[in-house]
Amino acid sequence: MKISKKLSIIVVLTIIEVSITIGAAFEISKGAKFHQLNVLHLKYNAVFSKALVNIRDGAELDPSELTTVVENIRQQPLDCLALVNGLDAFIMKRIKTHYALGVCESDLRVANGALAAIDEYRVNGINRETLLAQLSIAEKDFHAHSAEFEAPIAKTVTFILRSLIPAIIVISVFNIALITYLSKTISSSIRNAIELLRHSESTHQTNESVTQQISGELGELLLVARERIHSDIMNRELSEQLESEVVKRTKKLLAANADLAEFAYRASHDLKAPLSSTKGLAKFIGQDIDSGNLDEAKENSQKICVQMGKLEKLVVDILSLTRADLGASEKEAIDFHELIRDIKARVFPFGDDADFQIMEDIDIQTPLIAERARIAQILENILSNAIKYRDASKNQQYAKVRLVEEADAYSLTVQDNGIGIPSSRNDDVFKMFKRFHPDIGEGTGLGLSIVKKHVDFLQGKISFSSSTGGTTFAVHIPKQE
Amino acid sequence: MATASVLIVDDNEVDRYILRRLLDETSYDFKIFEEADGSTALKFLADYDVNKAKYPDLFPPLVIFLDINMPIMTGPEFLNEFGKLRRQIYANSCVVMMFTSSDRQDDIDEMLRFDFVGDYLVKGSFDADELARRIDSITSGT
Repeated sequence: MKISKKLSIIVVLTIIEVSITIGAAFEISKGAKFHQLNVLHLKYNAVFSKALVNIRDGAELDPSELTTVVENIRQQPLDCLALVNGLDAFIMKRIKTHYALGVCESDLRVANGALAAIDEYRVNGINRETLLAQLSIAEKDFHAHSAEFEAPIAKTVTFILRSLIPAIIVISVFNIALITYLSKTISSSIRNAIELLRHSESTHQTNESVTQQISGELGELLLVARERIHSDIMNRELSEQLESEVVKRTKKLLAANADLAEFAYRASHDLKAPLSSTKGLAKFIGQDIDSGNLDEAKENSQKICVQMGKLEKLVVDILSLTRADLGASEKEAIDFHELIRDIKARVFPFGDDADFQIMEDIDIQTPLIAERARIAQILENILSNAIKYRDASKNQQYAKVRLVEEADAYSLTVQDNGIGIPSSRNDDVFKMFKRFHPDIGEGTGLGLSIVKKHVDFLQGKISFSSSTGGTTFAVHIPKQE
Repeated sequence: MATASVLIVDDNEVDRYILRRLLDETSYDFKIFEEADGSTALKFLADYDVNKAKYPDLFPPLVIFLDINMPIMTGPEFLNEFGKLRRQIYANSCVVMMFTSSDRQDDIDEMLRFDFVGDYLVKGSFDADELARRIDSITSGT
């Protein structure tokens, strides 16, 4: 049964009990009223009989005074009959005390007869003696009625007291028992629900248990509450997740923005430098021609060529760097012998360098599959550094390229015997626009940042070790899925 | 015969040449020292006794032209170190004039923070007359 139904039964029972109790109280007080009326009847009758004695003893007969007295007497049976309702009449009939009402009625008749006699005397219809005789009879009747009335009324009142009070007690006990039972069932289902929630482990289990074991509104309440709590938690988790995601992304964006700003600054700076140098040199060439210093003019025009070459290399490097993040071209199996041959052709455009040797040691079973341009840029940048920063004091300068296949990766190492990287600048090796040898002015400072970007794109790793005896770069390239 | 000297600190050989030629065009007759990095420039200045003996009238240089972006020791790093060195040796006798292709306000502000940095030249933005004027104005105060 639903909790709300149980609660409404409790309310109805309570209303019934209270009504019965109030009704009983009225009935009991009615019994007292009957006794009171009878006492009043006797009192007025005593007044009446005393008046009659006085008149007989010679006092003056005042009809209106007698009328008042008789009317007073008549009032009690009137009140009594008005007081009795259907239920009272029914009870009185059942316990055979109904004749008390007949007593009231005959009392009324006697009173009315007495009043009629007094009226007749007033209009001289009867004499004083006759009236007195009639009133004496009435007085006796009144008295008799009072005596007659007492017994049934006492019986009735006793009956009401004896029957209603136990009835009220029985009803109350029944009521208390029923209400107690109902409240117990309500509280036990609440307790059950609490126990169930406390002991069930998984959310899923709770969900099923709730629907099976807790029915009605409580089950509904639990389900709704659970859903609500669940969605609240989800909402909170979701908003926390979103917030941390926003914070993370904002941080990333800020960092990317700062990187980009730094890149733009460095790129524009390095692009501008050869241009402003060229501008100055061009002006000098004009002056040199004017002054006939043609050797100097020629030298400066060569310097301009060098500057323009630098600019060209820088533009190419910047483009490579910005493209390193994009997976643009098709992957292919890379032939390292061919790749190294092509790189050699580019770094030694005028044929092989007698002092500098590029050696290769390729030891792989399965070819490395990747975008060719990416691998080419990694290797070429490392190799061109080896050539650029060679140690001219050594007779044989070299770079050894070694490629080894591992279980799930390739290991590419380039070892040279060049001048090395100053150990104080190790942290800056892969940063953009960094150069470490002031006297060797060929580099753009971008080569190793390009290499790093490509390695990152391939989800690989790059490390290096360097001393004045040379530098070794090790690139770890995971096999592609 | 030169009566004073300047030091050009720049890793770019062409830029050193350009500045050298512009200095030659002015009416000044400077002895010109050159260094390709902040680190070597600092070393040159720190070797006070040796260089003072070598160039008794010309050392220390009157003006140091200093690039910002250099491979080993950058302009700002040089200025930090030179600030200490300057207090030890020459007091106020030497003024730095920045000589760089960066016209970024952050850089300008950062360099002019040093009280011995007298001026800030952007490469390619001046001729010999302008250079002479700038040198006049920073050296006349000393």
